[in-house]
Amino acid sequence: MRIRTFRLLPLAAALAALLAAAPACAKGAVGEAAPAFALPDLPGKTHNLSDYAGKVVVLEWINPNCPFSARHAREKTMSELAQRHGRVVWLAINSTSASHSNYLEPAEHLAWNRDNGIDYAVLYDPKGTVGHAYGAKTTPHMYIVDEQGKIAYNGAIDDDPSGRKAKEQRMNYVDLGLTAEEAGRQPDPAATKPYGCSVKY
Amino acid sequence: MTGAVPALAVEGAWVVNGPSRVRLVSPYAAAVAGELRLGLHVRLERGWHIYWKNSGDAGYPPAVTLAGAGVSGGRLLWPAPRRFDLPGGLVAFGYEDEVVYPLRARLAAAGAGMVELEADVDYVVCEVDCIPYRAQLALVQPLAEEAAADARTAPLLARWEARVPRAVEAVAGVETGGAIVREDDGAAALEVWFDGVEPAPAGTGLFFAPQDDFGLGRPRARATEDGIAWRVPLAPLLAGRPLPERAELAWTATGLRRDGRLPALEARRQVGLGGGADARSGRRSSGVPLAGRRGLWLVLVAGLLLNLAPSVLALRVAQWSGGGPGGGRRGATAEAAGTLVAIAGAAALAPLAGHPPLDGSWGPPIANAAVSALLAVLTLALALDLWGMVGPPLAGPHAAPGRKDLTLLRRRAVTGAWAALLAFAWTPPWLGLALAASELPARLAAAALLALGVALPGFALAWWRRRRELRAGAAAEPAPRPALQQALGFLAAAGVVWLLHLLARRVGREALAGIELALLGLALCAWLGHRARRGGMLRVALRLGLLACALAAPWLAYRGQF
Repeated sequence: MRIRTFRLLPLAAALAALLAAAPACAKGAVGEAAPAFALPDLPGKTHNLSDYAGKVVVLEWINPNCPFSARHAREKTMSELAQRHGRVVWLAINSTSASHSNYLEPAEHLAWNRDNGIDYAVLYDPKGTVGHAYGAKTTPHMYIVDEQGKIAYNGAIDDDPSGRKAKEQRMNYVDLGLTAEEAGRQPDPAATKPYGCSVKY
Repeated sequence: MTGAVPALAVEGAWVVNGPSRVRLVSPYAAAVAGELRLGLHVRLERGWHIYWKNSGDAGYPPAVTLAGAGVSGGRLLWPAPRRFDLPGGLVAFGYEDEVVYPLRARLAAAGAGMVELEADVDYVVCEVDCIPYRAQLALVQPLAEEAAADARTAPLLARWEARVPRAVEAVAGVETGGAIVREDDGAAALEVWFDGVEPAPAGTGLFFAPQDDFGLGRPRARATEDGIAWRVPLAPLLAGRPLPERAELAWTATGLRRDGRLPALEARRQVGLGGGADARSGRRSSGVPLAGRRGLWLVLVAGLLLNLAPSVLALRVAQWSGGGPGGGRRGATAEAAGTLVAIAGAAALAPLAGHPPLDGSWGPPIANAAVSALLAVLTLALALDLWGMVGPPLAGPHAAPGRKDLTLLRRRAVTGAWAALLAFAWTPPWLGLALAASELPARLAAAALLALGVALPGFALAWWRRRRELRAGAAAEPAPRPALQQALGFLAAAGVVWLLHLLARRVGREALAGIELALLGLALCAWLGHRARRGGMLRVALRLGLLACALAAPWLAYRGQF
């Protein structure tokens, strides 16, 4: 018996046409409504952005296997900033694909958090849906969501990609932005070019 | 952070940092006062890249601080980059394998002696991971009253200085400009044009210097009546706020020709961003593919050469060795029609892919993992056919010339489409560019020529067979050669291995393993079906299994792509 394969071809071509479509491009412009999300943290509790309505939220895209995220963790850049602005909700989001070599199991990530004194929630987004919705490109990539639920800042954590400057000499854009928000002003600059490793979608 | 011992030489010692090594080089055996030319020489292990002045979505450009007695300044120049498409729709601009960034400084010292140069370099290199490094480099530059070039390093630096873009004003007969246009859906786009040039067959590129006013999407090039134009999507970084009335933009174009190949050209222009002209007032397209009329001939030649791709060659040799596929000129025409439909379909589909359709590498013109997996299924089906497990056989009994045989003609058309799909696995990057040109007429023109090139052997075979039959006075009987066909099956299988290599760059490890299992399952079902002596439920089950495996491969690729 020989199986006729040629009848597969039209079906295969139709399948190729359907699969050739791709997801929409990234967003996250300052002034836009922050895209809603519901993501689990490392212990498994789901965090909805809507849970924090009326509060200022900082979103930090993170990847422990990225030297830039790791450097800021060692230097406690984000932890200290989160503590200094105690009324702000600080959420880290890891959009590393589960099939990527950089992917960490939640337990491993928890251990890394402990080693680096990170006590804010880290949310898992392995399909990259939220990352793409915000246009997150690097780790770290920072967003400030204001009390009205709009993106107030999009960009880098500071002006020192190489980490050469002393911490007190760096211009920390997120610190400036949060201070402005607390004073009822809009962050300035509102958008900067983020630096770091590419998000491992 | 590592350092180096100064050396009395025009080549500083290499500083090795992980997958990278950097050093200072000088083109002078002896330098004089005035402008000092140096180079930051970087070599990278395979798969790693370093950045241009606009790094793209990740990384950052290298920075150098130069010091030495009488030395001031220290400014990097930027050779024309290439584009790296990263997973997730991200992009980077930079260099791989090796680059020499020309470095300019001022030297106040003069006369005999030497100057010890030190450079503090910050840079980042990326592959799957990005790693920032810092290096302290040193070079001892001999001085003299007259400059003397070094025979080894001067050509090295000159080669990379030649890749630094030239101002467009320095090239007679070439003009450039930019303007905002509105697409049909009202979205704003930037149109950049270069008049007085034509694209190089290897492809063109447009790169922008960093700016903070808005985001710029992927440029799509097209040929115009006067040269080349790119349409670049605009995305404001600040929603709800109007674009500034004007903005100064700087861009660099590569892959241009005017009476020969031009160096990369750069320009800085004030572009009005307010309002936005109707898209139809942009540069008028010429209607020819981006590769230009000369490039069309290359597309035709490429189509011919694609018949030498392993899987396509296996198909062709099997057709010829079995006495021919039959059908005469009508059969060859039907096969060419099938080839054209398949290629035109791909050319029409390519821009619909939300991802950029090309990633600048060999392989299918639609850079989609599911498409690659589907092609792997079709290539495996050819190998299984040649091994005698699936059918109908490619080199079966043929109709005598002059007799109508719709089944045969239909089979020839399907074979033609099949040959085209097999050929897509081996598409060179510049050919994919022609097939994915932004204008539909240009894409279809390229598709038609490519199909003609792929189908020409079929017409040649029909002509040769007709001559042989006229001489012999009778229709030749088919001469099946099973041993040769089975050997050709392994040649076709090489195409499967190549496609799996392409897939390894686009999907995760688990997805790749799943695709390989699906292909194995497909082969197993075919083999079991070949050995089965009875039909009925077993035949149905094996057909379902074969179909399931054939669909599983592209589905797993779609789910597992980066």
